[in-house]
Amino acid sequence: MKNFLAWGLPLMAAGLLLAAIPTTILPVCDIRDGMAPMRCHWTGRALSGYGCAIFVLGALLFLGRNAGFRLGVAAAALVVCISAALVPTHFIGTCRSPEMPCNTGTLPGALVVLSLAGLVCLLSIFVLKRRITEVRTSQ
Amino acid sequence: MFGGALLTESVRNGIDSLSRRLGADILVVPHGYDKKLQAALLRGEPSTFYIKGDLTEKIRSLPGVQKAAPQLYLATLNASCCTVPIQLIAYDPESDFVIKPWAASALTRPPEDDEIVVGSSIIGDVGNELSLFGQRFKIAARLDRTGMGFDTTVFMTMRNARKMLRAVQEGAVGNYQPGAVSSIMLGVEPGVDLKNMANSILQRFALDYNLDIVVSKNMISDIAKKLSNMSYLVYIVSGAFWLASAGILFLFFTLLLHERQREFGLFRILGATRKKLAGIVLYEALGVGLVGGVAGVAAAIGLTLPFHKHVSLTLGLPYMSVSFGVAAALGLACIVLSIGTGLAASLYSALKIGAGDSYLTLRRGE
Amino acid sequence: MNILELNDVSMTYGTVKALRHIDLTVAQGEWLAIMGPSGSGKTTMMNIVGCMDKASDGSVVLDGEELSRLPQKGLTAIRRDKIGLIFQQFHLVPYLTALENVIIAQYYHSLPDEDEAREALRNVGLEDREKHLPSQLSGGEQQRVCIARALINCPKLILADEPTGNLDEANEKLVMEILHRLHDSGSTIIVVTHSPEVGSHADRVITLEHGRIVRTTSGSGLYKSA
Repeated sequence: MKNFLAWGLPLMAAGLLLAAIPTTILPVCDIRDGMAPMRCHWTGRALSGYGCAIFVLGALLFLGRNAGFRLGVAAAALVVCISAALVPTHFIGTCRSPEMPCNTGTLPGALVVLSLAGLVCLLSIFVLKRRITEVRTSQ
Repeated sequence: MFGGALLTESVRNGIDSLSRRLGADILVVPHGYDKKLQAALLRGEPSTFYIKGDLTEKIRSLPGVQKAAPQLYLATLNASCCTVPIQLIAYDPESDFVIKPWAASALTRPPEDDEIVVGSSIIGDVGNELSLFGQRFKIAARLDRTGMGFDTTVFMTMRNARKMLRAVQEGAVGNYQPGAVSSIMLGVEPGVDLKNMANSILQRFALDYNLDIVVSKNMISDIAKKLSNMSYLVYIVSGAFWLASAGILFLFFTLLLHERQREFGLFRILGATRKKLAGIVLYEALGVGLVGGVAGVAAAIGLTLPFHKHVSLTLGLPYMSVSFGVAAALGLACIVLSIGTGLAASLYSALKIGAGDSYLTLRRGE
Repeated sequence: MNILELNDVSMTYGTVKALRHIDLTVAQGEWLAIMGPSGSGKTTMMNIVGCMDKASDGSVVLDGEELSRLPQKGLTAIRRDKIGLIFQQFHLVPYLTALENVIIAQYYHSLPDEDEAREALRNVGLEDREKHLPSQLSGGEQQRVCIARALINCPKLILADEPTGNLDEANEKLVMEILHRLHDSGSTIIVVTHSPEVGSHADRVITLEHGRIVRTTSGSGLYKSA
């Protein structure tokens, strides 16, 4: 808990995973010849973008030195995670059929990664806040 | 362990469901299409294949055959509900004994001319219309989940299917000839040897009709064998993980005892008996086991539940999630095992605690 | 009346004789100091008197109980019920508050009583520090918590091993004042110490060398509590 370097690393890993899930690990449905890309295609792109953002925020949390700065980064990362989770569930969505690859693989994979990332953000916020309060009290 | 147990029990459920649904003893299919039929039944991988329709009566008249029901399998991309091919299965309401009893649970009357019955995963509410091969059909009922390919299948009467196919462009559904069927489901009389019956059918009709035979008992036992192999793998891996954790816990408690020697020495000096100290260690082990067990079960739920569909499709085995009661029982068993492991791993430390000179232990390092 | 009697007590560890033919009596209400260089047998004597070890030879009678005949469990019970121990290194449980550190001695004796524990802390001047962890207390405060813990079960004998060894002058004075208060109220105190100054507070000082009592002197007893 004392060394906060570690907290940024899981977030970076989550960002990388999220970026890779829709394209490689648990890809969305293929685009069929002659057909327009389905919703899940755009969801996949959005998730990859969010994954990059989470990776960057994780790097900032890892590299940051000031507790207040890190607290801000963690809070921002939490908002990004929530927003990313809303992409496949509300903002854009996935295919209608529950048997489609985007619903069986991409969606649950993304939500699991985002839940874990969100948990890391919450824990970071909690610990950083306490640290800042302790420092203020001792001053 | 919990995840592995959930997986194997869900596949076992799926296999039970398969053997319940698959009322036929023998399935007659075109040569080379036995695997496609299995894929359609287990995983809902759509296929289209035909045999000449007059074979049904010929087989029905064979000695030992109690019942024979034709089915027509069609794969269609041209469905309004979905952008991937889905399986259509047409059945004869007069003679069918596989789909009819099960469909009757959702639709108590025979479907009308423009009606279809859909599997649990087909998009669309009862009463809505679905377009198949450019024609509109009303969803009359939705079937319960089976964990098999039937969940992504649309069922219609043979009459409807033939009417639909008459209106479809030639070549759009493969080499369809009017009256053709895809498979014939046979129920044999009690005491009839299935292998002999299968051989008899092949001998008489294989050349003219180019057939293959699937004995459903063999199909199920093959699948059950796959489950058995998978179970062994799951149990071996779980066992290895359990052994590793037990070893780690043993090391943990031994190190803990070493680290907290002074603390326990102090308690001893203050009047704690060795029994009481052992109780402290065992109580902590109980806590560790309980928290570890609950965390493990929660993590397994977090990983298996979201991915259960993906797992079932990847495995290619019938998969039907266990009931909440069964899952809870498995979870509880895993937690109890975790607690037991923690207690067993801490036993040595608990027995050794408080031995030796307490005051010297307390003053060690001074 | 004698609270403690050692009759021809010897202690051997392997081939090493840590104590040789010790004869000692301690009267009720007496303050005895045990002094001597390292390796003289002070800790061994403390272990035997404190029921943490059994003498190899001789008899030890504490408050009428013959300790040499008791099993380990019996010694634990005597130590728990009749002896209050004060240590040089305090030995407080780091994750328990000051109050909880006092209560833990009650827990192994009878039933925990928070009010009694609070009273014990009040008697050593730490009523406003009860919620503090040992890491949040000064050395002197930690030793006072240790004293409160030693006294919570109203022991017949207070056994202190270098009680001021880790304290500065001011805190040493505080702790000695508490010990004097206890002595004045009738408590029997045995202090093991290197320090002649600490030893001089006692009614009687015995000096050990190579496991024998080589000298017995009177302490000045001049340092009375304020």
